[in-house]
Amino acid sequence: MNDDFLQKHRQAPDKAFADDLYRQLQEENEDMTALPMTRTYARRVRFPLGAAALFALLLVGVLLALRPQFTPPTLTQIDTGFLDTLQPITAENAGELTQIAQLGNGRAFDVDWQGDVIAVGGALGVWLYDSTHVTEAPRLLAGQQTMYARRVSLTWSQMNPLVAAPDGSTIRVWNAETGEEVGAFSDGDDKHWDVVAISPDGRYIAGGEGMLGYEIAQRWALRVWEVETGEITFIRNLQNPILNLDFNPLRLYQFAAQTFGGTWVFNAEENDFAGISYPQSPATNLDVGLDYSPNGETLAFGIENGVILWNVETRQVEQEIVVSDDTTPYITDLAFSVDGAYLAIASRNFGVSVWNLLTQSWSYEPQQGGSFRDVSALVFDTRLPSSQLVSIETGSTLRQFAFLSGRTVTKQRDFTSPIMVADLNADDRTVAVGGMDGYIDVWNLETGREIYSVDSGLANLTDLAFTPNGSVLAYSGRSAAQWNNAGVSFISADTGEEVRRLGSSTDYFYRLAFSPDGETLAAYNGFDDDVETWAWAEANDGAAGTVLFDTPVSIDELGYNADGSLITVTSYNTDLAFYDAATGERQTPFNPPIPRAIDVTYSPDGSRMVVAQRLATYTSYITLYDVEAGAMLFPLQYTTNTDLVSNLTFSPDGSLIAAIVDENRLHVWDAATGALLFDHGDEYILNNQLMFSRDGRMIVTADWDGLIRVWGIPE
Amino acid sequence: MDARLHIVGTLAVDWDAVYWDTMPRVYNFFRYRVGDDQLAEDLTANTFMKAWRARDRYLNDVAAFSTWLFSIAQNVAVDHYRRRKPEVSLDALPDLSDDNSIEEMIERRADSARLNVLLNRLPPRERELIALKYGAELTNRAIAQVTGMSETNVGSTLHRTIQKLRQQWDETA
Repeated sequence: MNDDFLQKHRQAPDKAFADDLYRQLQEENEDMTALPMTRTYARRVRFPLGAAALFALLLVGVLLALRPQFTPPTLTQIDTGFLDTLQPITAENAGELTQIAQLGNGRAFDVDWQGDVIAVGGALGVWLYDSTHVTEAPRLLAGQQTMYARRVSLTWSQMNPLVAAPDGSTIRVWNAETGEEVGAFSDGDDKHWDVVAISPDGRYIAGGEGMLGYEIAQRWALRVWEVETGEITFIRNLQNPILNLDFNPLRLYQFAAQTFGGTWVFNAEENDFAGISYPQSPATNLDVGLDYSPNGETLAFGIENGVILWNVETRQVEQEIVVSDDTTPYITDLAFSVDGAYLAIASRNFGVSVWNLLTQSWSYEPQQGGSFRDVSALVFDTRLPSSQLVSIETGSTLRQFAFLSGRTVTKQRDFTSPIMVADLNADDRTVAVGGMDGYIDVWNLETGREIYSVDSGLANLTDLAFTPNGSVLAYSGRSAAQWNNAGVSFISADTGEEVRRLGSSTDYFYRLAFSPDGETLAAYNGFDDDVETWAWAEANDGAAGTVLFDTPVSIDELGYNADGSLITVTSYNTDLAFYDAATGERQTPFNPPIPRAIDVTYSPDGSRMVVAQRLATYTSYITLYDVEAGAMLFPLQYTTNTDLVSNLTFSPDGSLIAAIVDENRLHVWDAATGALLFDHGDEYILNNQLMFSRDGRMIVTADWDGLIRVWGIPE
Repeated sequence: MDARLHIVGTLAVDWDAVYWDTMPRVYNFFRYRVGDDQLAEDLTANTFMKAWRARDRYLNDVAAFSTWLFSIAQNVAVDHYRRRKPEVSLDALPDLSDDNSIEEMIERRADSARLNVLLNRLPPRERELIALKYGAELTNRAIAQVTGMSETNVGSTLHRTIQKLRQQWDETA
């Protein structure tokens, strides 16, 4: 992007001003040499091209010599018995917390299909399915970095199926049949490859940087390597993030790159721009579909309302396919059938649709709210006659279906949607998580096994909570078709069987909280803006809740104090509010009131309360209060440049406080002093839920990448 | 009340180097943010005074010194706007080095004024991102840390904003 007009605006400060300020600061304090700096970072070194190629060659040689074997078929990472080895987490050792286990397969992003091999790119790596036995467990090709294989690309080369996927600063290519890594391609560790494509003959591999590669130079690296030699044959730094890559199936040197600024065609052999581009509207930044037709003459790419078919030879638009002019479809993937007669279109809002290129009409029309939900990727069966497609839905499910009828052949939910809600049962062994696909998964932390899975039928789960005795799990959410749902559902914690459903179909419950004795369930009804309660174990199915109090505004969190006498609600738009749990009368234990609280929790003995406040944009505080005295004790030590604090939690003995800060940093504080004891962050992992075990030996996070992580201190 | 307390660990650095390296970036951050050179100087001085006086609060979990410094600068800018409405400074003229020709100087002054008008039309969040990107010369990752936006969001918002500015820039040429 041409931004010289912005860069030119920069200028050096006036020298007199700079000198004056320097003098003022010197006068402020004589000791100007001791400005605290606490961390140093290794400078990233950009390797010369030759060195990178040599490195890649050496790496290929080493890897070929080592011939790594397949990771055994597994759907969970099991480390049975690890819970017994954990020490209690204390103020003295909290700084040693480490991730000791990870549950689940994480979410899925992309899919490709060649012959008998279906490859799925996911949070843990590339998963390989036998297309004739999709119900069998897939094999995992794991990366070496935090591997989010957002794109996966399959081809056949010399009778060998090759699969490629990005792995942080490296692009890896494996033999999909043997699991051998046949190449690892990089261009210095300062790159972050998001998209990848391998040429149909397996000769070239192309990699591009997406949004994560955006650096000060405002260029996104596009590279092509020769797979056999590891040599970089094509170097371009584009002015826009690269969203998708695809090689021409006949002109094997030609490939297309879809970017925010348009779709471009390049010559991989001659390091050249092939002279074809199609500028897109800047508003289409979520459209990432790109596919060459089987005869290599047509390039299909998504735009804001549909798809453009662009003739590579004539450089003219062949067809414009409108998916919807009213609702932005958010096209995510495109796929031509092998005979070139059909184009399948995946979108977030309209699922899967199929366009007949010969009749220029829909064979399978776009349907909003249809049976396909939130499709992120799809591909045709490459064997003739190609009658099937596979798609990735809601990040969790691989669906194989007949494309003309939409009839599902198989549906494998081998992955996990981004986790939105979670709770740890009183036994410290069972954790329940709810994902964006409406499923509730209950896992055994000790065995790493999923105990059961329940399809709630809801589009979104808003909350879930175990009863204090751990026998029942309650959940709420909203349906796909409307904002309402059928109230609050209760399932057996052991079996997942539904035991009760309360509230009417017009209730939309947003937050749930059990009283400490487990007899009462309080729920915030976002439709009516009130808090309702049930003596849930005695209530009849469908019973309406008793309105305890109306909330003046929408609330963020809802909870009981330690003895169950008060219900506390937080809202950024008003003061922290306390209500008598029996009468619903507003109480004022704190004077002056505590404004703009976004999260609150009580110590187990009820004597203290910790509150997170968002006082202004980017300005948040976490403060400990003495509940009996109604007075502030001290703020917790932390820094955040955001106002994002959630999941405040006391350890069971009240000595520690944990929370998620900035969406991706796990914090643990000493509750006696407010000192920050542990701060762990991973820029690629967004944490969503945090729980402290009752035995004080572990912290569990449930994250947006669909994985459950267990943190502790092994003996 | 301030939640940011205590130094956990410190390491002495060359303050001179830090000052001369970051001060021009802070100054330019404010030029892009408020569009007035004199005001940018005042706010720069304010930022450094605050930073120096608050150095004890600088924690070792801050990703980088500049991130910390620009979070202070950002608060200084917010404080400024709380006190008075932002104003367009059409006569904010850049200082130019001696070897610039008169023609170049006139052209650059006109361009600066034009850009200030365009920047002033931006929503606060977008202007802030432009200031952090071009004035403070921060990477998107650092901007994400300062603003609390996700890195992807920073990238896409900047991209849209620059495209919008580019279009308006060309239209007003």
